[in-house]
Amino acid sequence: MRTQQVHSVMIFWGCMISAVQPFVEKATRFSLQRLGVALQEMPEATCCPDPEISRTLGGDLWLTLAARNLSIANRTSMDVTVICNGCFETLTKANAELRSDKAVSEKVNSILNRHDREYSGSSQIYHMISFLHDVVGLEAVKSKLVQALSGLKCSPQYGCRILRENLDLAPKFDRLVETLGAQLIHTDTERLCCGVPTMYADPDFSLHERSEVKLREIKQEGAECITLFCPACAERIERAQVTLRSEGEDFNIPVVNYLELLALCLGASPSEIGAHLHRVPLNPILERIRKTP
Amino acid sequence: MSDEENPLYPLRKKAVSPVPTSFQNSVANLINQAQVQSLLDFWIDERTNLSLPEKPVSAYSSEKAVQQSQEIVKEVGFDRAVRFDWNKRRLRT
Repeated sequence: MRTQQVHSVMIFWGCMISAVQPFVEKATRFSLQRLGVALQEMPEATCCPDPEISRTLGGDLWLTLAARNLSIANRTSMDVTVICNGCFETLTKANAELRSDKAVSEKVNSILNRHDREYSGSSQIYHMISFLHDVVGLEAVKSKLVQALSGLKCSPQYGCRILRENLDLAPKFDRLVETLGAQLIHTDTERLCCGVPTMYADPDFSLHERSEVKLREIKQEGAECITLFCPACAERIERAQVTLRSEGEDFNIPVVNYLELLALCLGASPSEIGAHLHRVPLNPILERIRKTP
Repeated sequence: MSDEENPLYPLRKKAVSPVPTSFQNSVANLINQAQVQSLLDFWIDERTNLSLPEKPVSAYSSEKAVQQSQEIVKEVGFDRAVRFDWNKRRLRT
């Protein structure tokens, strides 16, 4: 990432965080402010669009709307940082396809130009994991913490899309979690898909063969919470617990975005970042937060 | 870029209408509001309670962005491919 932008970040929120997980948006804003990072919005951004439905049904639309979003960043010469794994996959793949094939980028630009937009390929796409780990840095994060998770047992849910796009992200994610004082609980199914992509074709398979399998193992290994970045994984795993409760299985494992944990450790109060809005209460996490010496 | 032939994903087949039922809401949302996820009043209230802007600075608050997205939908022929009815604002079944 370019050095002159170390203390400034352009965020692509995507639709899920803004529309159904505003507590993650709030936690992100709080954390970046505490870390001394200026946040830039992407005005007039649309859906990334999603890599499941949009790309499957209309590759041309998927690529053109993704290029339109990237053109907003291109205009400012800033790189784009993404929290959602789905948005990360779409924007990373679209950027690579447009950069590598001139004919494709010319065709897309012939459409965008009619709307006074131009894809130039000048922006890189970064996951928030990379931004926090590589740009802000673990030591800088640690120096700003006022509370720690005092050995809270966290099971990481990486999300399959970041594992496909960048193999370095999973170990960086681990180090970020440990920086907050949490204990990582690794499971055999931690790299298994949460169930979102199969949800559209077979909800029962998605629930029982993906989400439930993961939850069962995480419970067995004694994790006190699941932490992740991807809002789609969060929605799936939290909602699955509500459905499974009605079937007699009560896992009661909080699912929390890493940025919420970070905000809490940076001094946010639970109500300030909307911790009460989770379907599975965050009490086990909140009870383990202690002031740093 | 062609839907017919994708050297990167050679087994990926072009989807044909009718769109699977489980996809229809998301497709209609993408066309109608340029976002797959709807922003419901409940969450607008909660955003306000969290001192966030009522609507994010994106297509959720920009009619221009939605219009631009809809023009692109037409220009690439996505509305015809999924049989979107612009009068009823939903997919033809």
